[in-house]
Amino acid sequence: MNLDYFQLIDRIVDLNIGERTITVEAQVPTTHTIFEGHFPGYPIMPGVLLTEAMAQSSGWLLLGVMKFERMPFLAMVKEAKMRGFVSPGDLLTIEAKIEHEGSGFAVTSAKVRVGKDLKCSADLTFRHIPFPHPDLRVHMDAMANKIGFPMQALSHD
Amino acid sequence: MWNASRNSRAVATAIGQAADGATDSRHRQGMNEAYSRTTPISAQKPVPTGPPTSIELGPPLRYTGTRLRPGEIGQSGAMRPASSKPFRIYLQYIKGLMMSSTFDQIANIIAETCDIPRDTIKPESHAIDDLGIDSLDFLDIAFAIDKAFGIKMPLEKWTQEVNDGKATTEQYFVLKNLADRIDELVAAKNAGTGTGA
Repeated sequence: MNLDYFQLIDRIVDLNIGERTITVEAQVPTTHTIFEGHFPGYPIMPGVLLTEAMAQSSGWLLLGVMKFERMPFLAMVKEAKMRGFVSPGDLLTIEAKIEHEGSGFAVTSAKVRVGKDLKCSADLTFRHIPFPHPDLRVHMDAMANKIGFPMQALSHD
Repeated sequence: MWNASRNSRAVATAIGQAADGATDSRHRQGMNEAYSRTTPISAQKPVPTGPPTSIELGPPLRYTGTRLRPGEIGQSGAMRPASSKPFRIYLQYIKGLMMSSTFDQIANIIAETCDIPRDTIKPESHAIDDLGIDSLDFLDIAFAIDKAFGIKMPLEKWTQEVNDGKATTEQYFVLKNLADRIDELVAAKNAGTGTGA
């Protein structure tokens, strides 16, 4: 997890294009300036960052389903529930699945766990469009390689 | 049908009973004792012990439109077609309950999704120009419609057609037209030809 660059996801553990599901892991850093302010003496991971982690997990799933031809952008967050505190050093396991594939949009649901404990969940809606800039596509390819995106999974539909 | 103005008395009575039920029990008991000393038991009002279980409808709400008159049942025993206005309205109401049109389903989805009063949503309403639905809200509506009808509305194709000048927004966003498009998509799906998405 590289919070300074808003990279919340460390690695893809499982991607099932046919089932429209993904599982990823993310290691919360033990120290960061965010925790100095949120909160002094009681550092916890902000809910908005947990929501972003769920959105990025869903985003990688959608990228895979759309074979990297279109880029998803977060459009709506519903039923976001912070069910327990996430502390510095926690290892997050994030599961996401596609609930609906519309025309130009998709709806996912996601859950964040630490161990077996469910920490938060949300229903997310994304718009997706063809990559608006070639640099973005290059960046996403590099990120995919970095987090171990299983490109061979794209051949499965 | 509920008529608030005609039944204000009945409602007030019901509210009054509920309020009485919430009164401090010791105070109520004391009042009842004082009341019973000067009033015969037979003349006492029943003391409410909790919230009312029903609201008494006043005489104006009694429905008399279906009362049979002499000659309305023929020798065969079959009822003659009802011609009274109340009965026709009643039939329309029942029909409306049994048959929910595509437009009605869309209107209900829009009302619920966008918090727009249902009675302001008409078949002639333009989703954007009249109802003020923005593109983000329309995503929600599209999601609900897709799920309700088991289709995939080809929003991108429609948008492209409008942008290319091949179609007008009215063709897709006036609700009666949207209902027609949805009916076409459902028919295409049922015919196994896909949704064109």
